[in-house]
Amino acid sequence: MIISENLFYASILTIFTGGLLSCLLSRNFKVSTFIAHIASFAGSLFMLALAVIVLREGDNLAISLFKVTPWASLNILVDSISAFFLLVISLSVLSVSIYSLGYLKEYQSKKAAFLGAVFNLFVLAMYLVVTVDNVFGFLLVWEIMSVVSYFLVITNHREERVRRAGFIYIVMTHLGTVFIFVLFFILYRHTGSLNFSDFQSVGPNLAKNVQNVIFIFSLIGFGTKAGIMPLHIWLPKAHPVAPSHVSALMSGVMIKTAIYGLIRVLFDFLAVSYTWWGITILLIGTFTAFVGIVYALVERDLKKLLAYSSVENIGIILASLGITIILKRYGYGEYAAIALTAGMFHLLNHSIFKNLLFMGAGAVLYATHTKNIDLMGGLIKRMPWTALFFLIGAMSISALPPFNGFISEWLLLQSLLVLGISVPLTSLKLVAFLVAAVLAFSGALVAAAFVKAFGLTFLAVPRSQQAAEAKEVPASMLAGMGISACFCLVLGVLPYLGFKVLSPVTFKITGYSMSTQRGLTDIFMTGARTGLGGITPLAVMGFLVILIFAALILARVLGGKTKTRISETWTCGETLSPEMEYTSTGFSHPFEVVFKTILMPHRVKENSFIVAPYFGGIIKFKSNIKPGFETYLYKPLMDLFLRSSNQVRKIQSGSIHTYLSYIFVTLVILLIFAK
Amino acid sequence: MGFVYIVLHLILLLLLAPLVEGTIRKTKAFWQNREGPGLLQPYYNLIKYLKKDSVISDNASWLYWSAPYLTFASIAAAALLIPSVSPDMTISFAGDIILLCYLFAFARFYMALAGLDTGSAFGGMGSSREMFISAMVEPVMFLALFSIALKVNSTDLSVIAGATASIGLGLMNPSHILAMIAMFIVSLAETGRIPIDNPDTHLELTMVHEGMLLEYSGKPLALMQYSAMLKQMLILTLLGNVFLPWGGLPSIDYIGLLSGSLIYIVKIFILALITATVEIANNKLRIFRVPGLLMTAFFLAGLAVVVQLLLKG
Repeated sequence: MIISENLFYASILTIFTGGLLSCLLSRNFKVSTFIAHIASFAGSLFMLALAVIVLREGDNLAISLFKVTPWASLNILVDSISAFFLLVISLSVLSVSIYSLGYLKEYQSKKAAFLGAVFNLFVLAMYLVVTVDNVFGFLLVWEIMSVVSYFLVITNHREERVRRAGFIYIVMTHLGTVFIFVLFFILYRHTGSLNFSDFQSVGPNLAKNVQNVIFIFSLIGFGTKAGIMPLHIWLPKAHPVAPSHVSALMSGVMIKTAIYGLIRVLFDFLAVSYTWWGITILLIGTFTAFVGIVYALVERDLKKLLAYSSVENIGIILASLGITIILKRYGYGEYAAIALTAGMFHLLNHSIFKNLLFMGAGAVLYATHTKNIDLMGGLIKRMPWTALFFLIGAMSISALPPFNGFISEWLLLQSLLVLGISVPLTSLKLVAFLVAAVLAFSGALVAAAFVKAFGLTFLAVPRSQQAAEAKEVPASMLAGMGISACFCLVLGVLPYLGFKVLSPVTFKITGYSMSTQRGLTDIFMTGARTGLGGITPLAVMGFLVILIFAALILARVLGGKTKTRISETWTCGETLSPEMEYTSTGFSHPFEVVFKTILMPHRVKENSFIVAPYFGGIIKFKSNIKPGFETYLYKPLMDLFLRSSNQVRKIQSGSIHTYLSYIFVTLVILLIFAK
Repeated sequence: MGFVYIVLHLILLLLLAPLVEGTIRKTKAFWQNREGPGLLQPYYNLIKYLKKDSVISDNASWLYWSAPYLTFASIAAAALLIPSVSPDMTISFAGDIILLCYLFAFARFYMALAGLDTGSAFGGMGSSREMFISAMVEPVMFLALFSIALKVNSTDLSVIAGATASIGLGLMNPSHILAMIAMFIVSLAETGRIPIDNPDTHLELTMVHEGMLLEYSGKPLALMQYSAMLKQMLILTLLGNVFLPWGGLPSIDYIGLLSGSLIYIVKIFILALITATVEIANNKLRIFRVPGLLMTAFFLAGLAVVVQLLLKG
């Protein structure tokens, strides 16, 4: 208890002091960013230790930071759920901090000396969001997190596009925050308290309608921050324009704080009372996952592709939360634990590999100064380490064994099967199987998207001057990516580590946990088991390695020693030029055609002729994807809003006398009602 | 002792894979009124490629020459999961049908990247189409396999194969037949056969799998082609042992193993004949017509699940 309390203070103080010092020393860019990120690194180490202690010992940590009035206080409570999220955040911040040491050189000329300090404030806010224990504190740090991340997003504010993205982000975030405010207000009305502990005791006994309203509000409020469709529109705009180390944290962990909020409210406060919540979340999650990856697939901007893929992964996490709720409601606690483990393990995995991929995209941006995949190519020879790490990230996110993404994908499909076999309702069973098919489909699309993202960025011949002149990034950036890549492999081969960390969380929520099931405790061979089947990733990895050597030996023994000659690629007798290569646009064209109802691609081809129609001149070709949600959902809403604002403007004459009379009339009306 | 059987199982599959390919080619030649190359031609080809020096593009990276080994290893690892002669001859503790699908995905991932690595437009086209088709195949394959998993309450392939074998012909309810047809369409797509892909052509507009391998030569080419043959063998084994379970999967003793091997081999060759005949009786579909065919398979697999749910109550 004392140790963990000290660790908490040490972490907060280190990160805060680091930020403050870097502000004071902002004249010297190098020293300033160095101090900021070393502080966030050290602070995260403390926080990691704290999280591990809480998860191991099971002792909750309670601290009262300050108290102005009884309600305006900042209380900290680290229980197993908070500790798990602390672990996720601190693992991410560890690698991103190291990466930032090198990456920030990119911003040196832009005099963004405060970037380090703002980064630390952002990290601090995220740590507090998942640990505060009362409404005032939560809303305070939630707002700080939103506003600080807004400032980080608009780092390159001289570009119109960036300001626009920042604007959409801050508007959408606040829209979500309104719902969170109202949600807590409703809870306050019914409990008379602003402490989370009172919500926990009173929440499950609230009336049906109240609970349902809270559910909807939390889904919209937290869903906006998480990026569920159709509330996601800010995400693919804001994440790509932010500096890459910030994108990594926003996509990797910030959106997960919304999942934390959702879990807190639905599982902890309300103890999931209704099955339809689960079905709703499952369907929304599946929809988000599928449509998210379809958008990612046709994206040409590398960071935007990653941002859409985050939308997809949030969908997967939500889907598994939905399964958890359904299974828990039907009384299958042990199965619910599998589904929850799937979701939370995926949350952890996604934070790791999405960090890795965003850092990789940042490294490419650093080296080539472009985000357009069509202008890249050939980087594997120029940036071998970045390429290797990005490949590991791409394999993890495509759920290929032996990396961590596979474990959570496997658990997710297993929990869907369990759902399809166990629940007594046939229609619900069918939903489970169809969702499994849709998620398998999305999984295959993820692989396609990341073959494209890796293949067209790193392989073949450079398609532009910038790509041809790219050089490997500094060692600190590589170290940051390397740490994340190692986590991907370790968690993929030894998933037991993840289950161990997760077991207090799943135990708290469902009453069961994966790691204690069937008495399996061996760290190496336990793998993942459900009632239906099991995997042992270490064995799979072992067999893969053995078989690679077997293939080498087989080829050598049967074929003898042969020589390898380096020569040109065969291009029907011509010299290979970058224009002959497949482009990202070409790669995803079949998908664009098949998903045309979702993507609504728009193509314009203009031919000009020297002698019509025999001698062609210049052919112009334009293609773009219509942003469906914006055009058909947000634009009408915006128009409605602007039109009604115009109506309201009529009563605004600009004369102070009129306004005084408005105030008077309002006062009279209020007095009539308030007596 | 179990380990010996697993190695034997892998060797059996590795040895038979080119023969199955040869049989399919010979059958196609028969239907086309050709003499065709001998049954053993695939073996000769593989040995020939293995002995040849290879040419590697100057644009290619380490990924290009490592891809054949990774592809082969993942397909061979998948082979360890699918029971051939007896359900006990697998490493079922290591994984189940989901792992199987993702091992195939692993191989595909590297093959597609290798296709992009040389900078040739053919490779890019092949990769793009392969990922496109496989994305459509994946949900069908999962649904078809899940309908079986639902039947026996397990995703473990040795349990599935054991259970289906012990039930035998009684298994052939409508759900099973629907799933089997869906899986057959999947098998055409996964093995790169007409109407989805054409294994015999190097015409740039029609090839998918061959397009990705176009730049390969020598040892790497041999491994890539061998992987494709082995994968075909695995898909046929899956069809034979999970979807057509008659004949049984005996326990491990000498007579059992002998009769089991015989039944297994006969089953595989009958399936190979059917595959070749279906291939010869169809035209290659335009790439954008393929989703239609796979959609049909998807609905069949979906129906299989519905029927299974209704039958199970």
